Amino acid sequence: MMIKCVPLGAGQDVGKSCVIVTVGGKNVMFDCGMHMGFQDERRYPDFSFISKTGNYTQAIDCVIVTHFHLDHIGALPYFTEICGYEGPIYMTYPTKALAPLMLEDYRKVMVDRKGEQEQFSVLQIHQCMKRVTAIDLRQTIKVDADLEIRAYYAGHVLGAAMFYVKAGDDTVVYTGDYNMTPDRHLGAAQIDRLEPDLLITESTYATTVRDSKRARERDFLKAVHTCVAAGGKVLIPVFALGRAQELCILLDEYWERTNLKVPIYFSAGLTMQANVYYKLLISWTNQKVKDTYVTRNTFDFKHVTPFERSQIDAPGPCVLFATPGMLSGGLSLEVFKHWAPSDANMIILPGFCVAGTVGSKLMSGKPTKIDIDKRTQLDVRCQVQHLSFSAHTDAKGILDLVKHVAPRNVVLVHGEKLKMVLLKNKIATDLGIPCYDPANLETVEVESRCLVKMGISKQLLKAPVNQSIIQQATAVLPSAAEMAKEMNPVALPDAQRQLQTVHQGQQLPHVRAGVPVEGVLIMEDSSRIKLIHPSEVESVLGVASHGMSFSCMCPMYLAYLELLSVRTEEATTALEPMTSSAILHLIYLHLVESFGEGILEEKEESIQGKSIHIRVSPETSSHNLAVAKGYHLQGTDIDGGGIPALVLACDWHLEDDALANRAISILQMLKLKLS
Amino acid sequence: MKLTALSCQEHLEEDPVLSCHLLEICQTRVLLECPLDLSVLAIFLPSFQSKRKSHTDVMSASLSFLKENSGQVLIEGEPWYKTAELGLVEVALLDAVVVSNPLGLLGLPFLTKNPDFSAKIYMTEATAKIGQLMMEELVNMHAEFIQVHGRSRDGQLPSWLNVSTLDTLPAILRDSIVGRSLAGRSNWHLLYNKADIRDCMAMVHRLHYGEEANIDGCLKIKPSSSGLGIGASNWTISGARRSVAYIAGSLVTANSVKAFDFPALEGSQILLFGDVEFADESSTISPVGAPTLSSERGGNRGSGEVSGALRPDTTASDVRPQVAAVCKAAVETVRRGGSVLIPSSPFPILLELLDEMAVQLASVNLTDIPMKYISPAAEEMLAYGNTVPEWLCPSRQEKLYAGEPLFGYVDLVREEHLCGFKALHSADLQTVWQEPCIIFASHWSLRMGPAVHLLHRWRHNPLCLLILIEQSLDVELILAPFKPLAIQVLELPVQSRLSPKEVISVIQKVQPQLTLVPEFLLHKKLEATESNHLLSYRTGCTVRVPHFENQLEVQMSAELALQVQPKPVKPSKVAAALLHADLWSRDGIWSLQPASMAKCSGDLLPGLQSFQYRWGQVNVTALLTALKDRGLFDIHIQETASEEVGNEHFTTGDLKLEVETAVVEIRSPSQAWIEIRPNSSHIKADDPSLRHLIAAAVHSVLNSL
Ligand SMILES: [Zn+2]
Repeated sequence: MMIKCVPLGAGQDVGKSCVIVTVGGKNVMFDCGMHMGFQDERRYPDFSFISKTGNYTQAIDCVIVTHFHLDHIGALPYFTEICGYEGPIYMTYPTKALAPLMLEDYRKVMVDRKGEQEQFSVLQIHQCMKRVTAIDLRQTIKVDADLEIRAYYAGHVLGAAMFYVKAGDDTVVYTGDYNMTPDRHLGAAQIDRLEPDLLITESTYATTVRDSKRARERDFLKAVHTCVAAGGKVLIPVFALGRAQELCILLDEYWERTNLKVPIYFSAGLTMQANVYYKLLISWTNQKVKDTYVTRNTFDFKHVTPFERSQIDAPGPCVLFATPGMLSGGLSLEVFKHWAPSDANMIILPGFCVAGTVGSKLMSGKPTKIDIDKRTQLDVRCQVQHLSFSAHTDAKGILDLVKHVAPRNVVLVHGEKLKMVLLKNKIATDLGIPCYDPANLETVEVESRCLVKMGISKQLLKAPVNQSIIQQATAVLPSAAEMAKEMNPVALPDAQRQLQTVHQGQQLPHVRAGVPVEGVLIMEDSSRIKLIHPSEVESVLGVASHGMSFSCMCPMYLAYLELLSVRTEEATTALEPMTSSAILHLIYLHLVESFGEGILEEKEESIQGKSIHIRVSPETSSHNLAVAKGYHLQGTDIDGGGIPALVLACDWHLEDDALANRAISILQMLKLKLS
Repeated sequence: MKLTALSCQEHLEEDPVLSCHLLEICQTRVLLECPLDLSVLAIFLPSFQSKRKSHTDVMSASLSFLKENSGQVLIEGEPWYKTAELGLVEVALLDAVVVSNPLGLLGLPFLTKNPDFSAKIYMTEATAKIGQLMMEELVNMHAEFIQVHGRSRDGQLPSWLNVSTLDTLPAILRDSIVGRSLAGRSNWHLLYNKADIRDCMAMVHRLHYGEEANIDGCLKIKPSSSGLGIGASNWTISGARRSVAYIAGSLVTANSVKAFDFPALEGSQILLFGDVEFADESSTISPVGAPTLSSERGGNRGSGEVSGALRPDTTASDVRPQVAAVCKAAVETVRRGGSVLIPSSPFPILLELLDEMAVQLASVNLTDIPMKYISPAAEEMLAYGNTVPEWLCPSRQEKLYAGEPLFGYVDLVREEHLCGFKALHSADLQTVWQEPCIIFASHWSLRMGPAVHLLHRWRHNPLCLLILIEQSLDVELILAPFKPLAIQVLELPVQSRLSPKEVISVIQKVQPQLTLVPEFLLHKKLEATESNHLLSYRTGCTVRVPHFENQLEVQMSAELALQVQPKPVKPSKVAAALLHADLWSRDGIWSLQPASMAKCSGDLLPGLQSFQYRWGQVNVTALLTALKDRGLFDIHIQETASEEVGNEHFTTGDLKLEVETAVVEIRSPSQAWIEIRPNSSHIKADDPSLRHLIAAAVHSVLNSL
């Protein structure tokens, strides 16, 4: 079946992530983000693509949100409360807990700054979140009978997850944003080798290979330390969640280590509240944080206290984390206005700033004057530092992930167009996996691996055992024998019972890979297919099998027999008392030497194994023996003919032809050796 | 599939104390739980009473380790610990161990210490966490005995476990130790140490609810919530042919943790009840379909007064009635000025008790009564309880979304009304000690730990109250060393297993094809259900579970499917094709992939495969043409009666139709004969290549796939 993938947002772009995937007849929406760079209808994904009539609940089987960043969840309240989507929505526990904070933060800033009409209300955010089903990592959730989803740890921010979706037999992995290296409070992304039909991955840093994170952390701490040591104030504009906690941990630990007493402030309210959530969600952090939370919860910052507006102009050095990030308004902008004119102070901008914000103006060149709005111009004398602490994986990480997950196809989203092309080519050529980078609303179709399901007869499952006995009697017990044992413990065929006893008391290998089977596929129609053992064909097809068998005569010469008797323990001084059955026994012993035990056995004056029978031909007479012996005693050369001492009659079924031919050629080869 | 119950229980009439089973399924051996029998710990003298003169020596000098107190004979010395009948388990052959809750983990280090142990261990993350805390707590408290008695030497049996001594012991004591057979001796172990715990835990695979794990490619296992406590689980275990839902210690009544997950178990063929309440005969079984909430449990023991109306707001509460009753009794005691001692372990209900206690104290304005939790695990357990939203019930999860602590006790800890202490003698505790108070303390069958010392301190005070909340304890035996007692004793066991009635309701909901229950349930308790779908097991015996006739399924890769081209088979309406492929098993699903090995066709000619299916009859004229096509011209045809060339290997059983056969003789390049019969052909030729040439010719004139 075909799997269809259409980005409604984040196609060759960063912002408003939203990808619709049609897999196994199900439509799944991955992420429902908003674009921070737009103020008009372009900020939301083009939902009209999904349904012209607006019946989204019918069109979409489920919505999956990977993490709480607005470019992944920002449009969700709009989609549910205004567009009217009422179907299931899944996200991890932390995302469900923290997303409302982000949404509410954003709503307030927008209303504050622009005086703009709000797109959704507080109430709508809460109603939207009520529809969400929270899930745990690696938990398999059945959305319906044919649709399963599972979350994997993605690093990036608390609760960020990659999602595996299985609809029927078709599978897709969507990564959202992820980080392949651990940071101060999060672990690295972790996913299994899922071999999905399609992997949709972010590609924010499609071509960057990042340098050491430690060096950047050191630079950051040094800059802060130098500034406060000289009596300056440091302003760090952040959003409430994610980067704020990461930097706070960094500073708090540094303060502890260096015994600094300069106050660190967190803008009161939102960010302090966010820390409460982080404490409840310790199990989603990295191992180090988890190991220490009893004695000291990492999010109980020792040196961090809430900040009051009245402290803006208080004397003395300090560090302040203020929301919102990018200096886009609110407290952070207000503090900036007070602190920027002094060259003792410092502004640290962690991460990306959207065009149009004061933050982005600061980052472009080294402006000495900044227009805050149409009427206000501000002297900027403070130092401005930009800190790139990305929580995204770099190009190497993306390639590592693709290699590890081993998909059949890759789609790149959430990146810059030109860089994505480079990465796309790299994946296609280096890894040999077809790779696509669709633009928004552009459809990519890939073929799923399409498994055919069929019935299988018990007899066929037992079959590999018998075969393996022939191939190598002393071989390790094949897994299929184990399967077969489970099949029917009561009525085991002899061969299996034998195997069972042989292997009792020793550890059974658990190799379940690649046991060769030979069967007949019976197709009644495309939906009813069954695989059966060849021996079942007669009854299933109603046609009597036509058996084929062989026989041949194998003459044995005296010199050869003599050699045999010398070689065996039971060597007798003379051939005098030797009967034909004694000779047969010698031949048997010789064959066992080549075949090993358990295949051939001596029975009723013959050598038998499977359908093979080797016996002394009635044409062999005692006369033969005597005459042949006479030749020998007289020293006659028997090479190139003479009278055979005895003739062996061999017969067998076609099924055992290989084995029979081997046995015969062994006997014949020995004769040749003699000459 | 086979199931062996390894519980130490000897008699049907007894309460089976240990849930421990060996499940053999799809060629995989899975041990279900590895618990310790904590009830037998009570046959030892508490640590602090050892080496004191206050007890009567009962016996001769050779049995000097026996002490009598209040009519009970106890052993003085370092306690040993009793596991289930692990002797029936071939450790080296074990593929996996599944642990459902912390109690099922306590004996595991004894198993993992065995150098032959190589199985994979599965449990939920929370079970691993709390279970480890409990094992470390046990090792910590056990140190009290080592202080008194010194450390036992490795490999030396204590005298009471000697075969010769056992025979002279009082019958009751002997029964507790070995049961009726001396084989039970091997179930006793000297306690593991912290390094053993660490080694054991390092082997554990930690899972989330609903996370699938896979054992050697042939079994898929998945934990789901059992409702018993944080992280407690039931399991679905499925292979290619079998699927089992295994019910461990469970609770179907609402409480603070995630509820019993029914949907997760649906679709399983077999339902296995590992841990079921042993209710006495008098408990009535209501007809099928009746509500199954069991709220009269406490009442059964004739001790606690339990009713749903204890709290004004029970409707919206997730508090179990027993928990509410415990707290109510405690609050009444402190109001009278007495202190309350609740010996308790971290699992399963401690946090719920703390929570409810806070609520009830607040409702009567007694928030200044100090609450203390004394255990080496106290601090960690209290901190851990506030970080587990994923394992809790929806109303607690709402607290996460609201950014509030998950349990109310967290506020008490912050306000220092509730404090955790590692030990009774810690200096911090001495400075804040104040009575009356409510103490939660670890105890291990009241034989060690802070609870023992506190009980000793308060035993003569009639104002104080001891509340026993754990099940299957012999109260007379447990309290014997502390007698005479003036302290009030309230027994309010909190349910930790399904009752027979609840078992019925689970069966009805899950609708398995077959249910496995302990034998005692079968006798009278489960008459209400269709008994033909019930199979019972008993201790020490192995039950074989019969097969179900179910369609086996295999998946074929598209790559392979394209190689197969079925062709129609004339008389029937189906198409058929030969298939040579590799059979794989992954996650218990069989799949067929293109054959990796070239077929070892050996001496066979191409196109003449040994497993080829042929049918039809040989038309002699067509055969002659086929032989000529292969360069064989010197051919002679003879007709003979079939009996003369009959070959016993080729009897098709349908000889009535044809009695005539043809024999075709070939004289060059060497001699050969083809004997043609209705449903078989026999080729006689000494030259192998000629043999194969003829075989190919015969094959070509027959129908084949
Ligand atoms: Zn993100």
